[in-house]
Amino acid sequence: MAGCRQPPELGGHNVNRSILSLLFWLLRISLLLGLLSLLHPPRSRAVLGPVQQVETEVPILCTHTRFSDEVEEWKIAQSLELVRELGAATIVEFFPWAYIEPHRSNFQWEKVDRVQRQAENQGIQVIARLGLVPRWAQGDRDANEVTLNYLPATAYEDFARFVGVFAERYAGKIDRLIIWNEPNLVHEWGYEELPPAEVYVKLLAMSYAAAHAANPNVEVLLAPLAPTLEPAGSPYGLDDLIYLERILAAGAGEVFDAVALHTYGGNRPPEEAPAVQRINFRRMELHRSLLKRYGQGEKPVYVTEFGWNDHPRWVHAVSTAQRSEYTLAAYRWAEKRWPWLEELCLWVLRFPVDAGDYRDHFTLLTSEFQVKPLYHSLQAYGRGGEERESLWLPEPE
Amino acid sequence: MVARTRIALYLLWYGWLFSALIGLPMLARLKPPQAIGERFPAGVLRVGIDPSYPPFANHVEGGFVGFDIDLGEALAAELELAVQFIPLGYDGLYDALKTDHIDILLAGVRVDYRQSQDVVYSQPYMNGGLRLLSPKTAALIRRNDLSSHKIAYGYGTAADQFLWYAEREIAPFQRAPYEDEETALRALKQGQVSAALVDGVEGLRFMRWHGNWLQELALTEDHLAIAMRRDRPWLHSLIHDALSRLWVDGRLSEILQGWLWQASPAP
Repeated sequence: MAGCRQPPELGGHNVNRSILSLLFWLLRISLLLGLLSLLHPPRSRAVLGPVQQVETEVPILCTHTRFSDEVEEWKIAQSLELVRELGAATIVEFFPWAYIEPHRSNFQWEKVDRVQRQAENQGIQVIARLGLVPRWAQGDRDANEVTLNYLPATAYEDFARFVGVFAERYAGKIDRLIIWNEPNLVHEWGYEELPPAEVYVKLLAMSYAAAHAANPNVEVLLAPLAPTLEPAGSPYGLDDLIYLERILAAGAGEVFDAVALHTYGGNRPPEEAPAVQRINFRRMELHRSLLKRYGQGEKPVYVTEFGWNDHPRWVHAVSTAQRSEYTLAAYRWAEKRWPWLEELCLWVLRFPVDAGDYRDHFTLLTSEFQVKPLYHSLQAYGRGGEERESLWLPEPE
Repeated sequence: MVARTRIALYLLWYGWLFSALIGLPMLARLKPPQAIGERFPAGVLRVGIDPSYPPFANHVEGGFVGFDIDLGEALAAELELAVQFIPLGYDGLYDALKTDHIDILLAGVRVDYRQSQDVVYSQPYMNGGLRLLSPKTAALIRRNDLSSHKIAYGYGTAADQFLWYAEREIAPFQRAPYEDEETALRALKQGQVSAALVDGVEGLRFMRWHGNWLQELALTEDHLAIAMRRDRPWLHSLIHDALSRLWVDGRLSEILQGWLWQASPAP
């Protein structure tokens, strides 16, 4: 049947159409590739600007930051800019081992790097606090039953090795390392039984050796103790003065270069005299007396956490006005009477997310960078106490 | 016919055998529902509290008092258990739950998505979000009514933050920052402002004494709830049901009114 055969002209037309279609596809692909080539990864909002320098009249002005759970680098950059504008030349920051070495010998340094480079860019020094245990180092304990503070004795060597690697990588940039946190509290050991002071000294000694082998200029800081009056046998912890004495008696003096201290004011004024059975700002003087007694009085002292809280209901809080007044008075006291003090670091600049309770009333900024009254008071003090216009209305008559 | 019957018998036999092989081990794993007494061998509900945080819990001579204490006792009674309150510091609240030192955490905590890997929360028992307090005579019953009013708040607080955003969405209103929320509430009391925007719990506490002339409006949501371990679904059900019963028969509302102005919306 003639009708069944395609006429040759029609076949030629089909070939032309195929070529045309192919050309169109090539054009589309080229266009798509062209458009794709225009796409770039989003520009970082945390671009490093010119290197800054902190201008301050109060060299011991310092604040603890909390960047470990901060997702966006621009927030770190903005926070550190506000630290510089505050007049603080040093920050204390927590670098969790669990985040940095999530698998054995697999180090993720980006979170530390970004804090370090942003701080350096603002002219700010970093004191690093190291702690928090990765799962792989916690042995065969059920992950559902232990917290990230649980450190089995089998992992001390791993922790010390981590300290050494950290010290080596940041030599010349981060030279002050705090080994662990508040070892006199049970929950800082994962709610396990409070280990004897000798156990902490062993961990400190191993870390000290690893850090110094990696960086001869490193300064290893004794962990700050939590100010508490808990008696021996308490399920929560042990009195900081008792624990410190036990640490020193166990020979800790040989394995630290400097001391970190926590000294919260509670709801008492900073000038209040210290006493063994009292938690107040000057309690650290009792710590220093103990250090002297054990021949460690010449070692530098860093207060890595202190402050007052201005929550309206928390039982350990003061009013907002008192918070500013007490904090400034504490700086004046330290500047005048504690020449041996290296830094007085306020807890805390800002949280990545507001806690929604009284803990937020320790901060200088809200998570959304809203500045609090104490920030302004400290900034003025750091600039030499210049007068400033009040940012809030006077008390109602 | 015989062959068909034989095949059917074979199928029946092998089907039964197969089911037995598969099903019996599964049945063995199924445990009958346990009674509360078996879940709590000591007969005690361990409640983690923060005794430094009134009106939720406070340490006074002779023990603990507060909303969390009353609610913890009511929950334990519902479950026919004794109650043990375990005081905790704020750094160790969730760690105590994780390490099985407590059964439930009842410490004025808000629902926190960052805890969701290990923790589940009960239905909220109150909204601690920002409250706008204004005289009953003022027409301030919706968010948009802020416009043209003078609003007191604490400088640098969550209310301050909220008002920055609200200013962009609502017609202009006059901001009246005070050094703290207490001073802002005093300004409201003295008639120097139309309203005060404060933390929810603080606002509801203030309303206890000034509820006769003030009205309150929740502008944000911040749910407070009971935290439990994620791996104990049976406990979630027990607490959920007990809390629901307390809500339905009005006891939760009574407990709330004992410490704050009034109960929040139903869970």
